[in-house]
Amino acid sequence: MNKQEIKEKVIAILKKYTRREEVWENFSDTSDILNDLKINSARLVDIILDIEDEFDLEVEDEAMDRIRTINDVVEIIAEKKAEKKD
Amino acid sequence: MPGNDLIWLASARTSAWQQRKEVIAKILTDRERGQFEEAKDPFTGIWAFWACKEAAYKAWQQSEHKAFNNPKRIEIRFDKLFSRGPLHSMARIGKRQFEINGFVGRHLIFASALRADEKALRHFFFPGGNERAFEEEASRYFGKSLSLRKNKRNHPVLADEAGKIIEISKSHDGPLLAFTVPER
Repeated sequence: MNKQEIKEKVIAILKKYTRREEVWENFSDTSDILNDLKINSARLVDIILDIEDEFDLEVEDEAMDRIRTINDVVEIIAEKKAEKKD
Repeated sequence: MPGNDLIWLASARTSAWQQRKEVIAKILTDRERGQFEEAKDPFTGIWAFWACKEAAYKAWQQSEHKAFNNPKRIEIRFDKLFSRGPLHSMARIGKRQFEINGFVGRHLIFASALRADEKALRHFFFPGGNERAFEEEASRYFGKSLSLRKNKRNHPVLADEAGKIIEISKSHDGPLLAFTVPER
């Protein structure tokens, strides 16, 4: 799975938890999940759990702390997937 | 610099957390899990922990100006976990400690956090979208005209006509807005 495919799946997960459609009008890879996409921190826990289910991996506490943007999520998933292959 | 959090229980009941036991491991430390397992009402218990963590995080963030996402970096210790009634706990984030007070009601959980060396707090509750009513009430309480704004870090503040700022905390869930301000 390449990063573009990961990103599409991540965006589909994020869209489940955004209340306002308009946040997706001007989003980018560097959109801040909490501030720009207006996702609250309780929902961020759901997003992490959805990612673990979707990609069959574990997002440890330290990795969770690194997440600010859509790109951060994609990078963490890509790293975990690469680790699994090795 | 206060922090607060409001959980509207009707919304919480429809949350995906209801179906996900993994949430406990994601948000509670080992020590917290011990106390959570003693709770008579796990639904209220987990949301009481969450409200305390959110309130403590907001209070911490106002002075530290940093952010983190791992809820286990905040450790909550309740005097006792009630399914209904007053809520009191201590929160620790790194070296900082906060006292949390609030209540678990029929419809909502409310928690507010202040540092051990700070004064008491005052809370205001309004229907959602009624921020003007809060400005009027806060102006009466502090005895001067105040308007609700956001500072450069996107935190809510009250500003007087001379530009003097009072740091506050704001939460919105379900039909309610909750504001917490330092005691005058």
